Amino acid sequence: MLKIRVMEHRPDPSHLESRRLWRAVWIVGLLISGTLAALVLAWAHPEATVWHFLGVTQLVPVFYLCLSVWAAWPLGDEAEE
Amino acid sequence: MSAVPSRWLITGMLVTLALGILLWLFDLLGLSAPVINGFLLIFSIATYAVIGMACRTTQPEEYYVAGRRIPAFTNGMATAADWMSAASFIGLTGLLMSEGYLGDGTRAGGLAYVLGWTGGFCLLGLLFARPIHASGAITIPQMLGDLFGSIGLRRCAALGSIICSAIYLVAQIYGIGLIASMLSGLTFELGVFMALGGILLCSFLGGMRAVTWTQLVQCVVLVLTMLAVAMAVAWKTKGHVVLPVAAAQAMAQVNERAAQIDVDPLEQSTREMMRIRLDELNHKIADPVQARDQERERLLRQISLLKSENAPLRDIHRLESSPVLRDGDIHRLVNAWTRERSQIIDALRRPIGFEGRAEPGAYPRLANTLALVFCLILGTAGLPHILARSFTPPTARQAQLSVAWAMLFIVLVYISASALAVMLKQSVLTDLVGARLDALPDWADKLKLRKLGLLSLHDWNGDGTVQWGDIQLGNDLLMLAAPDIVHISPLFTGLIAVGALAAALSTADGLLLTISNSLAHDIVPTGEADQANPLRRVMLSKILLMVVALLAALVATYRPVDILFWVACAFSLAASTFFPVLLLSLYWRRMSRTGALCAMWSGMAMATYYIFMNHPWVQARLGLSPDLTNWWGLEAYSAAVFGVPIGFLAGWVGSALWPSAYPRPGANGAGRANTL
Repeated sequence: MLKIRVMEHRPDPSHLESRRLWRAVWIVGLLISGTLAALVLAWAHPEATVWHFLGVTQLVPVFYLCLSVWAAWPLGDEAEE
Repeated sequence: MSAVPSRWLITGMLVTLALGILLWLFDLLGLSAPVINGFLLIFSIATYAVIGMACRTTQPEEYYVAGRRIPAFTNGMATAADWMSAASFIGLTGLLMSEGYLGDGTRAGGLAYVLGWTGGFCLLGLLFARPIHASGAITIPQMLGDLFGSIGLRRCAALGSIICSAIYLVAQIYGIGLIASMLSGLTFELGVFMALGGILLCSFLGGMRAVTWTQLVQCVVLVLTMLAVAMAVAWKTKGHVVLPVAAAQAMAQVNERAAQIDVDPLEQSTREMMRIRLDELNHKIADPVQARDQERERLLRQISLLKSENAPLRDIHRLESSPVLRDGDIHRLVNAWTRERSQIIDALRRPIGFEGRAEPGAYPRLANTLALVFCLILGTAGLPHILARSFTPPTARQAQLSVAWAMLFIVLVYISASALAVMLKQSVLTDLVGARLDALPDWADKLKLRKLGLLSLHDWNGDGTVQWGDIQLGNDLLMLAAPDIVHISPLFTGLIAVGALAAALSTADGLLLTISNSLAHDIVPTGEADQANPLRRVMLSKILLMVVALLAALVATYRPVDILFWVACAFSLAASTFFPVLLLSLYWRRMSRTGALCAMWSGMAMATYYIFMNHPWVQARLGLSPDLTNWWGLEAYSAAVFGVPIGFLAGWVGSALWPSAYPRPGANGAGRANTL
């Protein structure tokens, strides 16, 4: 009975791999789209320098920081190697 | 072991606190700036050297990878210090101030650097930190060599690693020389060799272990210095220390002032005079012999007129010392005219505020910016000395986590530098533009006198007042002028220089170690004696480290021009050489040894070719036209735009044509590629 319970809690490697892959796709996608959106919007409105400052030089690096934290965050019951 | 990082962290903070109290006391005692600066230079170099000596080791595991026991937070701080070079610590503020956000028409603006220098860490943490640590190797070339069981691939990777790091290292040592000479009053060459002593004491004695703990202290110095300076400027100019709010308030004033300056008739007349001079220079460069003769005749006529009028001797000497009369060498004259022409073009393109100029050519400007962001992001994820920091934590998860910590410190510094640039520009536009030349603000007089060339003024329209077009600011070291510009204590100048020195030394330490380890560990063949006694290999690493450091210092004393250009080229080279091969090797099961070699060589060759063919010196020597060599209007430092796709394509083609005969070991030893 105990054995069955342990088996139930063991993470499925293929499931974990798939979750990691999706996370990677999301992070790379957000990195590319965030960067492109920031630059294209800045070019579309070259006079909006207050927004360039607040949005691009302040918020985008913080956004990248959040992506880095997400990339390093353990997924579910991912074990320490 | 967990007590060690906190011990060094507390030491770093106590050292910074003690330094702050000492500086405050010096300020109260009224000591002169050179005395305080000399003290700061000796104090900071001595601190790093003491840490280096305390961490000395000859054990291979300690020397190469700091015993693989550096916790994530500490490794993150060391990575941040390793990453933040003098160019990014002090150069970013000046770059944002002078180029604005969107660039000047051909070159990329400040936004490209802010995004490019931070975005790469997402990829590094996501894609490379875990598998690099899991490989159990000591260097990136060793990891690639082991992955495919190829000594040729390992040596090829070592060569790429040495080239990328060497370019970057010379730039750092050049920066160290500038700062050390500024702080000590010594000559540039002596400054280089004095700071080199500090680097060597640290990395020579203790390798990665000493470098890690030194970088920890340097990270504390870097972050606290930048925050302290930015907050002091915000407090002085806006009365509070909330940096984004203070800078946004300053930005509104910058925009208002820039709009006034833009329509000012005096500014327009200045620009008109600059354009006239530009036309003159274009004619002179087109027919230099005739231009020299005409100029000579004009000067001789003027001199004889002055002599007949008994004019002051100083004025006559000024005309007589003109290069046209004194030398007359056509090649040198054309060089001088070309230099002057590019300065005027730069000044005309420079935005008044931070806005982009609505001129034709918006497409190449955006393309260049996107290309530079691409190169900097992939270059960050491919720089060998940054990748090597993933070997030092105890687990793969800690390696990945350390990248996120590094990002935190880097983001803190960069967002403060961006805010500082706005507040400083507001002061320049309100205090200096419109001031009379005979009644300049006191800080402008001080900066003009400094030998660093932080500020020079040229009254183009001769109206006796300063217009925006008349101002020439020295971007690279402009941040050093911040305390003078906003009238905060001059002690901050010393603090900024100490922060910049920490930035340059920490990066130089990491680069030196990467180069010497690649040479000793990956290029020099391992003999039986080395296998029997691993200490021999460590000694060889140390000797090579010293040789490389001296060679780099020697090259830096020749004062290579255009440092930021070469740093950006190093990023492109690193991206082209390492990013495709690492990504394919670690995540594509069918990547073969030949494919890896093809990816690395073709990426490196493509990037090198593009940089080489688009360098003005090469174009002048080979008689090439930029229209032929410049693809899609992209600058030479954006070579990775071509190098990276070629690397991926060659890796795929090589693996398809020459597949592996047997399953490769893989980083995790399971005969399969890694997972994310």
